[in-house]
Amino acid sequence: MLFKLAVRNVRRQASSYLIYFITVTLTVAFLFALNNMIFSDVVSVLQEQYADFVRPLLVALSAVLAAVIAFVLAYATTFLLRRRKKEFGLYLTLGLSRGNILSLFAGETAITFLVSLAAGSLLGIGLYYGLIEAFAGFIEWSYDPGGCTWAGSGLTLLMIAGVFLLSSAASLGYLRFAKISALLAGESKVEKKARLPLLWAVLLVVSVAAFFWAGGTFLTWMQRGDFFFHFDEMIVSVSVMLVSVFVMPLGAIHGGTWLLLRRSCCRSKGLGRVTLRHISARLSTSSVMIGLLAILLAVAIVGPNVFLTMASDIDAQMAWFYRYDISDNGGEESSYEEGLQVIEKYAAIEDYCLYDLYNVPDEAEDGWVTATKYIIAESDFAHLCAMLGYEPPALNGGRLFCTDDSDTGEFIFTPAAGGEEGVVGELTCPQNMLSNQLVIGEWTVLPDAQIAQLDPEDKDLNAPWFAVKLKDEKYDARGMVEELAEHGIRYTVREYERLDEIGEIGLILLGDLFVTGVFILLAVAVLALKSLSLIAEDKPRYRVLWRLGASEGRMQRSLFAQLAFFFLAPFAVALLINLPLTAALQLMGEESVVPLTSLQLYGQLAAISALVFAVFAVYLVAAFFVSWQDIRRNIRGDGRL
Amino acid sequence: MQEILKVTNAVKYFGSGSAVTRALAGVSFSVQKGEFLAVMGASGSGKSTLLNVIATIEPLSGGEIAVEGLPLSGMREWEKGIFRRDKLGFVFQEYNLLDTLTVRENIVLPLNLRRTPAEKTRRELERVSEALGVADQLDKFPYELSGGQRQRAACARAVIASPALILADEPTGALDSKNSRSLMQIFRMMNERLGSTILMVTHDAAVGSYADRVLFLQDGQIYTELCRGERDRAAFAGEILTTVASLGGEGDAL
Repeated sequence: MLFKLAVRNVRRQASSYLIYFITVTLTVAFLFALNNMIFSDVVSVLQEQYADFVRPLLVALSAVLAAVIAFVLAYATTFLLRRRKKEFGLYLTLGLSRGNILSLFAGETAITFLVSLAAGSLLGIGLYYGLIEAFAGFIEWSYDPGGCTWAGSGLTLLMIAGVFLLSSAASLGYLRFAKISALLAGESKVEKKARLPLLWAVLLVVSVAAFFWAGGTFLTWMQRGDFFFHFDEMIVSVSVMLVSVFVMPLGAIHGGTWLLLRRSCCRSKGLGRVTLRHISARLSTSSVMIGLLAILLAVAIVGPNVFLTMASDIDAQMAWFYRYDISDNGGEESSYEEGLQVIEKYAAIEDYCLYDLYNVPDEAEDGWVTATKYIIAESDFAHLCAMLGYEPPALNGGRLFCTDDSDTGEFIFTPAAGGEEGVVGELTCPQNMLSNQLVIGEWTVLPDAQIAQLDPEDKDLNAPWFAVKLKDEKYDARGMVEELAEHGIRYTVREYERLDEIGEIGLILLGDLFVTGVFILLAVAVLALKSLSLIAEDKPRYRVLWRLGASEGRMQRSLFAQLAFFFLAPFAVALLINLPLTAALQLMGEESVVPLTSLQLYGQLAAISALVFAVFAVYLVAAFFVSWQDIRRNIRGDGRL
Repeated sequence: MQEILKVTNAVKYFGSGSAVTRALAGVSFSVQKGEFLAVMGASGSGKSTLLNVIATIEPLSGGEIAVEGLPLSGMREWEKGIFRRDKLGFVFQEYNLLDTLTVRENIVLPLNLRRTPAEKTRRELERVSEALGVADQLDKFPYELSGGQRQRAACARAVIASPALILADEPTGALDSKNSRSLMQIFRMMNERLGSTILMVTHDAAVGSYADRVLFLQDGQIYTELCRGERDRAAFAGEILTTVASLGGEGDAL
């Protein structure tokens, strides 16, 4: 009997359960796709060496997401419960036991969950293949995704079961202990007069100021770089920011609405006062929720910003770190002829340079090695310069001493004529101009004649150093590296490194995508469910307003203003949180090859926020129309005064 | 005397096809300015329907209703809103005060909807809140008031914009006998001192006895009407009880 009643209730409450159903379905789809991707080969492709390490990390991320989902759905379930408190109270007065009521509600949510699980899994399969395809495109790899994995699907099932149990626990706990009278009274939350509104208004101002002060302190701490010596400062600033995030909505509710209500334009015209009071009533019971959603949204927004920043200069970074298409010495025992043969199978060679580096240690008087100086022949150096498009400086029989300029990260060439050191000119070129990435610090270019006099024993490795310039930009770099490895040759192949880097960023994108998607989805779903739940309480109020002669247009404007404020409050706080986070991102990016300007970074933030706003707008408009239809039916359907 | 309300052959059907119910079957009457009219009848007699069609909450199926000479038929939805806002005041059985607003804010709501200037709003609030004895309660929220106080606040809201007609639907339905008596005295005061024209629906003979005239409905038609004239209230209540008995209903003693 209870099962039949539960099924009927779900059907009868279809509109109430719709947003809940959509949210759970999309969440299942996300988790299903994420978990299957984690256990697919794509993770190995993205991070070949670290697959065993990365996979458990992604599973942990998925578990954290599931925990957040459980928490938010528990919150959302209470809205469903609130809408139906009277109904459950009635069941109790009719003689159903607490156990019956618990079974009934658990049965209803279980039915919704099971239907969502089926629909979400189907959707998840499509999402999985779509994402794999998109990923293959992003990492420039032709990939056969194969089918979904048992491990991924099983993990999803386990997580969803856990989410269901956790999210139902809170509501069931409430139903278990709530008094019948409290249930029958329904939700009659009213706005109590704000105590000390001026104090709240001051708190609003103080919390905004404290937020920016803490953000500034955090940035200063980052800028200084001595993280571990002033860790306490970071803890304090982050804590102040978090507290401000929760105090701000409270201050705005109790102080801000009070200030607005003091303005005659807001209090004495049309439904301005009603709108403000409704907003105040709504938000006062939701300030903690707004703070939490703001933090979720802040994370959802900052993630894509980090990804875009990292992805913005991949090519420039690769060109800076890897000066040649192929470089290194291939290993002490390798043959460069063999290496060239393999390379030519994959890409046409435009030029290449073989050169020796001499490793001459400086010895102090007591015999300890104090530094290592590298020496390269003038002809080899000129060849390398030509390959990079630099004009080599003339040595004129002297030598070229190169030293690291720690400020610019570049070498300054100081030719010394006639053996006597002295600045005769300056030439700058990248620090890592030599193909050996390990050669940093000081190095010297000597005329070829002087190189011939050096002891062959001082050569750095037996095999010559190697730099290759290719004609082709795109080729099967992964295949080339694999085949070189089969011959025991290890070269640094820039295209391969680029793909590897893309793989790393791909992992961040993967995590980002799910965190952002799930968090935004949950935030809008909670807001939509909560607003629908609150509208149920507002219906009698609108009926009174209608009978008092408030036009439908006015009521619509009032309803939209309330919903917009309710939806946009956490969005606005999330944007506020992102201001210092974006500044921090800029600080972190200052060391990169092509640092992004403030305009670019805040432009990215604006673009991401616009996208998030678009999702919010869709849910806001949907919530508005559903609510308005509900109110309209209510004010017209019930003819009794 | 100015005719505030004129109901001519009002007909109202609910439902369609074979499930049609006739709630009003050609009701005609009029209310003069400053009059206090009660509408009584058994359950299902059509009294609440009559109130709803006058309030433009339900459309008429036939006949005509005019308030201050303004016909209600043919009004568009937004015109009905303006009509309710400008011409009517309401007192509901369940008070229907907005629990999110203070008493002050509830009372001035009709003036806010009309965009009345702040100074005039303040004067009108002072006038009605003192007259109705809620001046000390203005900054409280409805949940802080007793039932009687809430109904007085609802009366203040109904009367503050000086509407042409105040409609009251079982205003004492949620009150005990002491508070009912008190509220009816307030209705008389609103009628006599503030000049309000009142149309009240009730099933209570004692409550109806506070009116100048009582209209009895039966099966959607006017059965009879009684005028108080120079009689005292107790005698009028007795006559109402007799009429109610002849209708087959029961009266409550106040």
